[in-house]
Amino acid sequence: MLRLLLRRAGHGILIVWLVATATFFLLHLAPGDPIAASLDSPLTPPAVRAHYRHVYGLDQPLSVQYGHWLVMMTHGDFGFSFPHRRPVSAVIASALPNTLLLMGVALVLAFAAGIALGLIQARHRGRPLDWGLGLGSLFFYSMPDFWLALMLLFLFAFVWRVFPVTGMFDPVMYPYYGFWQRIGDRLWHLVLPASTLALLSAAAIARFQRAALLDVAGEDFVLTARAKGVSERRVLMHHVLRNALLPVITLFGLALPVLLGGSVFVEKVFSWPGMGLLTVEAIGTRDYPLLCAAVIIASVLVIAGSVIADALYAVVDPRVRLE
Amino acid sequence: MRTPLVASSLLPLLAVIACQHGDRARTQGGEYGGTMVIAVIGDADALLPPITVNATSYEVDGLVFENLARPGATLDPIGDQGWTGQLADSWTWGRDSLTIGFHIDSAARWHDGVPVRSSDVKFTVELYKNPKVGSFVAPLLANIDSVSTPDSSIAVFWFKKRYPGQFYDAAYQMRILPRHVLAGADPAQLQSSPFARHPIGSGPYRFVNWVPRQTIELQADTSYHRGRPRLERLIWSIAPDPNASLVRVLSGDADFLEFVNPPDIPRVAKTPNVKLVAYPSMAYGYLLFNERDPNDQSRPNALFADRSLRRALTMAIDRRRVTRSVFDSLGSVAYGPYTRALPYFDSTVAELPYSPDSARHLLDALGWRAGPDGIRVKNGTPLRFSMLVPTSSAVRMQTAVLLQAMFQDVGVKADIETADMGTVRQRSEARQFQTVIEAMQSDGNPSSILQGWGVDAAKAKDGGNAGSYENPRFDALVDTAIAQFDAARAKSYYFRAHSLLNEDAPAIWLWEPSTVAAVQKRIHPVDMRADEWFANISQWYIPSAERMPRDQIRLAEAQR
Repeated sequence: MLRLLLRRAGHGILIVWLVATATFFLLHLAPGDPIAASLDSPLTPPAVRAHYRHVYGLDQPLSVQYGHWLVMMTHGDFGFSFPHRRPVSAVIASALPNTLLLMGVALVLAFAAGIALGLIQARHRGRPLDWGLGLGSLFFYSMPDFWLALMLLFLFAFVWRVFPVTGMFDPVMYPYYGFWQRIGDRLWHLVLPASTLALLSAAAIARFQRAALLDVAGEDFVLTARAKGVSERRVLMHHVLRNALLPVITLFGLALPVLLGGSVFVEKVFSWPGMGLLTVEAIGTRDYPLLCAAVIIASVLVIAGSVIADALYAVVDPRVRLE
Repeated sequence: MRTPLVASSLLPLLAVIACQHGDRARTQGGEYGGTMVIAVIGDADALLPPITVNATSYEVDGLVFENLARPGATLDPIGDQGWTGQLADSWTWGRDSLTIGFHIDSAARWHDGVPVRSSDVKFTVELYKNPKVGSFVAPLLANIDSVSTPDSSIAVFWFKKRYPGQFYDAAYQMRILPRHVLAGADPAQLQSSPFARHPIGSGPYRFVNWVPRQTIELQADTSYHRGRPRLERLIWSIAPDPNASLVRVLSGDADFLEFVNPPDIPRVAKTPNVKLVAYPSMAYGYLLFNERDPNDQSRPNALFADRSLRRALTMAIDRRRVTRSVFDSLGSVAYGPYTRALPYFDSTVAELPYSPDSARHLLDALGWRAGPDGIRVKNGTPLRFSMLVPTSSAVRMQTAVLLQAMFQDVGVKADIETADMGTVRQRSEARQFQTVIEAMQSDGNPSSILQGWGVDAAKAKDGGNAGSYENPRFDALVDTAIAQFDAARAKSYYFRAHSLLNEDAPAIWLWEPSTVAAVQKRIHPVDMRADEWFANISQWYIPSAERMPRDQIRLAEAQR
């Protein structure tokens, strides 16, 4: 087991290095640089642009820049973001918790709702409730995330004014709230973006879960349980559901990189200052160090996600052994 | 293209916009308090004036820090006529006009309580000029030789030569910084210094808090030496999506949005609690011709080095129709790289008329004859070029489509080439384009026109003259205008320079958008200046009867 994990970690480091290197060169080969993107007025004196290019080493040959970058990476230094005028680590540190909060809540809601919906549909297979929920989940599954976000924003924030329009907290009152008021304010601002993401994901999870439940429901051990007189509720919850969770666990493992990357459109529509929005902004401003750091973190999480999924498989299904 | 229905729907707005001046009479009431939330789409980069480049930073800096003096409504850059003191309460010119002595207001204090002294002014000038700082203002201060401080309240600027913009450069190009806080800082590391994220200024508002990518909060300095600002708190609320920013104002979550996109204006007008306020703009757009070969800049461009061809292409464009289609009634045709809000603007300047027939005749005379597909050809080469447009600008994309159709009418094939803003900026800087649709913010100082169209800026590698237009006569006229101390004479030289520029047609001047802000009706009086919309914000107020819960936080509570 340990040997396997070490081997996977070694592969992971190699993959991260390859991905980061490819990203570094692709970014530098694309037109533009952070200085041109930030100092974008034609009236900016050329000497000022040249000054900053020199300060950040952008006037060096690409191979030299790569060497400097590699040395910094090995020291855990992600570099300096010129558009943000802060170290990349500080920029990421301010965005990452926001994305973890949003996506964490959204994932918990999505899995809870998706599994519950799948259960209800499987239990009422072929009946109007199954048909109705299936249609509803298909509706949300096929809906573009930005459109759903805009519709929820329009209805709940603009027409009915039930929830706030954007942001993570009330920009005016938040500093003057007490502890519990702050928690409430944060949750209040979390409702629309988290609901948008949860609705979209829950629809997919429900469809997976329903199919898995129906597959397992036809197995011999389920028939045996019923024949022994086990109640239908116990059959469903203890025999069918436990075995039907395997594909959903795979989904959960793969969701980890999504959790970090965030949902770009949802973050943009609700002005949620997370990693997804940060990365897209960094593309626009050619923020090389920030983009490379975001790609490294995302690739680390993809690898970690697949390892966690394997481990969870082994925990849930005794037939599966990592060896 | 906009429909007549939309055009007519904008008409009542003009009445709304025109009524804003009526508010002015009520500003004497002296009501203090309230919170104004400003919706912006971008975060600040650093709150340090010498290196600030983005709009949000510039706004916040403009209220936390002060210039020595501020210009009048005409933004006249010659001498000191119309200027009023800000950090300085008076000034004296030297007999030879090579010095200006500014007397610092004795009541001026930094927000940490330390008095503002002349040594702060001297320190600021030296910091701006320090090459390690990398301030984009530094090249504009080349004529300031030094600053001396005969006593703690007088800062004397010494100039290398006498010129009309002396006062402008000394009083307006720099925001004064606190020496006692920054003296020990490494100039090369200023941008990442704690001060850049927690500034201490002497302006009407104190810095309170900055949550990156979310909010920036300022509060009124009740002891401000020019009188306490009426609005007690200003909060910049950052929402990267322009639609979300607008919805925040419409729903009442925010009070102010600096710029409303023209298509959104009818929607804002229908919102009862929000008013539209038009104010002068310094923005303009144009199609820039590259007069050098994009692939080998030592060679002239095969098409656009020809002045007559540029003139023909200019005459093919109905600029009024383009402006009307893109901005409806909220835009005007541009006359050149010099907008209506600036002094020396003159609408009688020479300009090429819209005349497709003249364009066709001229193209015929130049040997460009219509080919079998209608596209003109000369020596086997079709009259075809690309227009580089940033995808993020709907206005410029719309403009490109209209230009393409108008060029087509005279037998010219113009291909629209789209790229993201960073790529467009990089290619423009590297001069790797045939034509590019640019949108610019003109500078208050008319002499800065040489940075965009002068010979030196054309010859400099990645200089501001990306089209490489070169006409020494134009430079000479601007140089002569800059040297004039008499406003009328300066205006006549600028007029001749602008006319010559238009005759040479280095670009097709397209539009000047009117800037329209969306503001909650409870904010009064909302008078805005073209160069800095926030310049008079200290006088804005919210009447007691119109206040909301968020206005009830008093300064005492806001102390943290």
